[in-house]
Amino acid sequence: MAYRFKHLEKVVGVFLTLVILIIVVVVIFIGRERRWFEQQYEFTTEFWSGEGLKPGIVVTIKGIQIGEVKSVFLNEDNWIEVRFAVYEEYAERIRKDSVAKLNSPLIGSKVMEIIPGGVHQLPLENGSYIWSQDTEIGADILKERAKEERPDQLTRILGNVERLTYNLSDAEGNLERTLVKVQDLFELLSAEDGSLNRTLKTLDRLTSSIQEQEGSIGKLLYDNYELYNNITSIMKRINAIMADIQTLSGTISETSPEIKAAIERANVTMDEAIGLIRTLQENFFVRGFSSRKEDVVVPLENAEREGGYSP
Amino acid sequence: MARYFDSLGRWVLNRIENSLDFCAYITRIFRSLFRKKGASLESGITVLFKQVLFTGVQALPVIALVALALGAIAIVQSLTQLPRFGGEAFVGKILITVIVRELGPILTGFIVIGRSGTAITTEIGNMVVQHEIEALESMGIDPIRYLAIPRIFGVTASLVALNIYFDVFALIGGFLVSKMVLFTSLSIFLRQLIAAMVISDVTVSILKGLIFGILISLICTFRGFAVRVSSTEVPQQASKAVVGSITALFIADGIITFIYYF
Repeated sequence: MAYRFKHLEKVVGVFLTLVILIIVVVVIFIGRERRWFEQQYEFTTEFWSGEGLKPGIVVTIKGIQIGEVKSVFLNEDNWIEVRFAVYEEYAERIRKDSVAKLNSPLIGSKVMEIIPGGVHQLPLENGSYIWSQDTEIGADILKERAKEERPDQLTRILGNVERLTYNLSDAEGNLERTLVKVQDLFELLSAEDGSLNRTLKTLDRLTSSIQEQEGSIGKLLYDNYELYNNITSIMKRINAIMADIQTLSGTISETSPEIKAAIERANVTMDEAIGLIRTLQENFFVRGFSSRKEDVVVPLENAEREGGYSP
Repeated sequence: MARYFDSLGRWVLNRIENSLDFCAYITRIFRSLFRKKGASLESGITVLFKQVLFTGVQALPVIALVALALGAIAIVQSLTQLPRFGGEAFVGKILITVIVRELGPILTGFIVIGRSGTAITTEIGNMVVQHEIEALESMGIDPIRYLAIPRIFGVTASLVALNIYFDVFALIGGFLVSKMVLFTSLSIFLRQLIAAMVISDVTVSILKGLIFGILISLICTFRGFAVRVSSTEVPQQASKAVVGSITALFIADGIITFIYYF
């Protein structure tokens, strides 16, 4: 055990010194990050509502942190007075026409955004007051700023045209790529051994043979309307036949009830005749003169057809 | 019914007696601490160094292992859960809050209780059983000044230091995982951590380490001196020391967090 305690003080000293060093380094880094060692400029503003406002929320210009809120309290006029610090490097951007406004991100605390003042205005001194969006003057400044920044119709059209021409002239853009593809296509089509050339030659041969009345199509096309005349006369004859058929079908439809009655009467007469013949066949006196045949056996599959038409 | 009231009354009286004993022990510690310097305090310095070596230096591998694993787990969970609702920007803040403020001090406290707290109780308990305390007193050495105070300082200093080491190792674990998953460079990772860290994170972490160290060492030495005659009391007191320390640790953690946030 003795050897373990040989360097007892050294080991323990290193162990504890390292901890102190780590703490010091971390504190220095935090101090640098929080700008403890820099001069800060304090400004004051007022808001109508203090919802979400608290010390520590960040102050930004266009999303970049330039300081933080130091204190928030309700003043005698029932306005929320906010004191905030701005880092030295951004202090000169807080000018006479700067306006403070509150933004609410989707997640996290509110952010106090400063709309920086115009370049022609003088920077505000440490401890000055700046207008907020809730004050009348602040709202007016914001409106004026919005008017200045809002582009008119012509400027917007020019901007669109500029973007369009830029996109069209872009070497990587769609138009450039399409033109290159079209050029490739033309080169392919105009090639001596290309399929288009071959097709055109074939078509040329075909039209010349048609013009010289070679083959069926040529003869058909250049027969001085012989085929057309034949077809017209055939069509006339077909029309006449169709008229006759129509007349015949009308006659049949008119006489059909009488035909049906005659058939029915013939059937009844036939039934009666058959009954009479059977009676005679069974008569003792005339039976010997009958040439009666045995009933034909009808196969089962034909049974329906064989007897199906008799009533 | 009467038996129930008997047992309840006995339990309450035991608790009150224990609490009074503990208060008396703390008073005795303060009296010994501010008494005029004697030889026993100088010799107690060696005890203090040994205590720091045992509680702090030798516990470093365990602390490093647990911290690396915890940091890696915390960063993996943050990177898988937070992007679902667009909260990637809060990874650094969550890592700092979870590790530096809460889990770092608590887990370090648990390791110190299990490793050193029980050892202190057992050691002092055995000394009581073997009448070594009486021997010290007969030689004119204050056992509180010689045995308890160096251990209290040693455990407290070790816990504060281990807590800082725990944070460092946990953040290294987190960095290693984010390096594998996001290919983040060390400088960007450190910058994100420093941006997410405020001075109160460091002070709360150190404060928790300090208070947990004092509580653990006070309870464990008190339980050691609470052994009367039999060696069978030693494990019983060690068990009570662990339970009491963990309970005190959670209560103190809750109070500190409550004070900070409200």
